[in-house]
Amino acid sequence: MKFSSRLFLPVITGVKEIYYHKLRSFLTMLGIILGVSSLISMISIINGAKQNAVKIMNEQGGLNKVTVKFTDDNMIENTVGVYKYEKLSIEDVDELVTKHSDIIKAVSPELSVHGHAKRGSKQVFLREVTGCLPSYILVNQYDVSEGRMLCALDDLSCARVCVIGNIIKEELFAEKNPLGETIEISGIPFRIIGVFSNYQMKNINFGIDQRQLSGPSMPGSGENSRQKKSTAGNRFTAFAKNKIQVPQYAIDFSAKKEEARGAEAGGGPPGMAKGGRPFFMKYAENNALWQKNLTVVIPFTTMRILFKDNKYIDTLNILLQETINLNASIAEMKNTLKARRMGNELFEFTTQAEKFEMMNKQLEMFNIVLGAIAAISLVVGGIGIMNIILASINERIREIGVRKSVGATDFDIFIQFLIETMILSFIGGVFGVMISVFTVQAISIFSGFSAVITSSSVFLAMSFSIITGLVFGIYPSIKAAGLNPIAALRYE
Amino acid sequence: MLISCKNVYKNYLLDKITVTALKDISFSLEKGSFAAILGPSGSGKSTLMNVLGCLDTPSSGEYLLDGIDTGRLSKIELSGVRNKKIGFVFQSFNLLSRYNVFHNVELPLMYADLTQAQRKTMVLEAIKLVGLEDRLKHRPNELSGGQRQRVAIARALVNKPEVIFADEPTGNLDSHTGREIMKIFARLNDEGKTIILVTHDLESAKITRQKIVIRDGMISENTGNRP
Repeated sequence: MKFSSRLFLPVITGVKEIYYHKLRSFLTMLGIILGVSSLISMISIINGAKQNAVKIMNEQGGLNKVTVKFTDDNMIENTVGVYKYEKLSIEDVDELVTKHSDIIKAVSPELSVHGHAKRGSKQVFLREVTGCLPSYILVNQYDVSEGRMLCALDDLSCARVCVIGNIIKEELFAEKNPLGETIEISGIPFRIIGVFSNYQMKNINFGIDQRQLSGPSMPGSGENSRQKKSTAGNRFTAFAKNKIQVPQYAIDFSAKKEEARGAEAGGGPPGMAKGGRPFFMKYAENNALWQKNLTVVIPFTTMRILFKDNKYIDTLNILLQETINLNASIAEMKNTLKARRMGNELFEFTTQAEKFEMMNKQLEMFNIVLGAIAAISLVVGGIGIMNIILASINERIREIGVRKSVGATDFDIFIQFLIETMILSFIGGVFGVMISVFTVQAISIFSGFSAVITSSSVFLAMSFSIITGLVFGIYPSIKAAGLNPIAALRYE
Repeated sequence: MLISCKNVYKNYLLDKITVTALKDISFSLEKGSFAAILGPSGSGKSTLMNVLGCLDTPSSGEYLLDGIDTGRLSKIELSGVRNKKIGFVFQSFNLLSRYNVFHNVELPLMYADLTQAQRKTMVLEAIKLVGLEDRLKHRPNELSGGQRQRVAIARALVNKPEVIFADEPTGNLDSHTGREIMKIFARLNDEGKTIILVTHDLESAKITRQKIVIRDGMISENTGNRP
């Protein structure tokens, strides 16, 4: 095999040059090292955040879950019309299911009230007690870890039974077995037949409030009338609402402040711990799915008879067969409901896709900001390289003269210096990747979510660093190549 | 004729004033010559060497090196000519301080498309000619002045050039070492190499066979001139 020396010469000289000036080369690379490691860390963190958010979202029902609600706006509009606009009824649900059996996998009509759960002297305030059918766990992605879920028979017999989340179990029963025990829900005794699994997923605490992101639909929308009643529970809701008004995905600490202020303003309503913190705060910390653990469900009919005085449904959650044609499926279902309301669109269909999109937008913003920081540090690194190479050319003018006198062309010299800068930036990039392995590992440990370095981010960062070397190496290389050999040989 | 100059002029533009460094230089040298270009500093002898060594091109006139009209060559072609046909030995050695003897001598071959094996044979051959076989791995700063100049000579020899230009090769050496270096040149000339010595030192020029004296950019004396 014939290797042309001319091809490898610049690489060999470049590596030698860097090796002979180890410290200087390292300092030169520092900018690139920082740039690359911050770029990779950033991409890894954002990817980790995304994956985490997707996991959380799947725990909330995934992308094929559609939530149907009567919209607030209609409450005002309907005063004009001849027809009284009705909220969502069980007949509407029946019609939806029969008409769209091809796209609907399961439906979960839900009723909800605010309330409290009490056992002896212990009391927990609930932002939501839900009346539901057995399909609830399928649609909303719940598992029952102890006992059983509500069944159709519970509903038919209007049984006073409930399935509770882990927080209620811990608050009211501590270590005891709650199965078969009775608790009071808003003053009415219910027997516990099951406990939901304990849902744990770490929060991402670098800006995105996962509790906002992942929170199940809060009660309150379309329920203004009930809110006017002044009970302790409603005070809590008011603050919950207040919290919602913080722009979604607000910076985490601001949300926390808001909560703290809310707690103070509330003057410590029952259900608050002594420190002014709501009792659930300790569960909410570092668990994006804590709200799932605060669930209490009772049979749908029991709820209607005991807590509601109408035939309407507060929320309808629909699980679709598949996520493809999501928008088309929603449009079809919307049309069906529209037809049942004399052509008026009264219902809002929301999916996790919208939340997901919002999150993506948010992450994109982070991408831009952090990307700009990484880009700036790469540019600074590039300028550092250029500076050093310019200085080293001055030092090596005679060398350039000698090389030219023994037959090096301008292009040979140009390539030599260009390759040298590119090797510098490449090695800097490699160091940067190695450092980012540690930083990402550290971030994973401290933040608790898995940030993974992907090959694509490494590839991206490495190409950026090499391109930086290329761009900032061109000017010094042109300068070196343009030296007059006679003057260069005589240079002192 | 290996080297043939006809009415070579070289003009420089210095601060908008044209300075004529070489005026009407005409001479020729045969293969195997050992010539000295003599002259005081500022006489134009270095300019002449630069033109003869293809580091520069004449402003007018014709310079043929081994039959090639260098005035018509591009910069890249001139590099090729320097690489294949010319070897330089400088007053200040101009070795690359970070390279060892072997790699310093190898340098011209790196710009010629040769395999590693070919390069190695040629380098060892050249180093043998100057008697530094036992110093292959030494860096220039580990060598004496005379040894350094011998490395430089080996580098000039390595590509088997048509002509070697030596620009004040003994200028930085003591007289004893200088004489030894001149002996090496004499021996190389005996072996058939064409050597052109550029110097202001008549003593070291004694050993040469032909003397061309330059004064004010013109040839004032040429001991072996054949028209």
